[in-house]
Amino acid sequence: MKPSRDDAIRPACEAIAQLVSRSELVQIDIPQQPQGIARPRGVPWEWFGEAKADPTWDALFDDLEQHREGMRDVE
Amino acid sequence: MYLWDANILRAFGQGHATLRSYLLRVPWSEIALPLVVVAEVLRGRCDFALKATPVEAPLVHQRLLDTQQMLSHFQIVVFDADCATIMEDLRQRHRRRQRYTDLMMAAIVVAGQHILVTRHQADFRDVLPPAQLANWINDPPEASLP
Repeated sequence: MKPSRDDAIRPACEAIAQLVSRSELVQIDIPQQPQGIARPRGVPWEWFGEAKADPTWDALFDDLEQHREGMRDVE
Repeated sequence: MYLWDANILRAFGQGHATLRSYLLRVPWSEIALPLVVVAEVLRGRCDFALKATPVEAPLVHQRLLDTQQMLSHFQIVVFDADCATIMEDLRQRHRRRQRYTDLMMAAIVVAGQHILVTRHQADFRDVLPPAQLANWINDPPEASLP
C-alpha cells in the first residue's frame, strides 16, 4: 500500500519536535569578521601629520635625497 | 594606482594641507608606495638606530618601530621582472646621468601604467610622460584629478 502524504510528513515532524524539545535558540555576537572578507582600508589618519613632533623626520628624507644623488646612473 | 615618491610620504608625515585635500578625494585603495621608497625610508631609520648613542637609542629605536607601523598601512608595489626589462630600456634610451632610484621608480610606473606622485617632476620628465606624473603638493586637486 502506497504511503500517504501525511504518513511521509509525520516522522519528519516527530524528529523535528524531538530536536526542538532538546534545543535552545540563543543569539551570539561575533566580534570579528570571518577570514576571507577583506575590510575596506581607509586613509590611516592617525599617522597623517604624526611626524610633526619628530625632529628627525626631515633629516631622514634629506639623507634619503643625498643618497639618491650619490647613486647617479653613470654609463 | 598613484605611486608616491618619498617626498610625498614626507609631506604625509608633516600633515601637508594640499595632500590632505587629495586624500579626501582619492580612495586609499588607489594609493601605494614603491618598495624602493619603503626600502629607502627603512634604511634611513635603521642607520639612525644602529648609530645612536645609548642615551639616544630608546627614542630612535621607537621611531624605527613607528615608521615600520606607519608603512604597514600602505599598499606596496614591487620591482618585478617586467620592471627590470623596462629599466634596462630606459637606461639605454636616456644616456644623460640619471639617478638610479628614479629610474627604478620610473620603470615601476611604466610597467604598471601607474601615476607617479612627486614634488620633483623635473627629475622624471625625460623618462615619464606628463600623464603619468602628478604633484599633490603644489597642484590643487581640482586642477589635477580627473
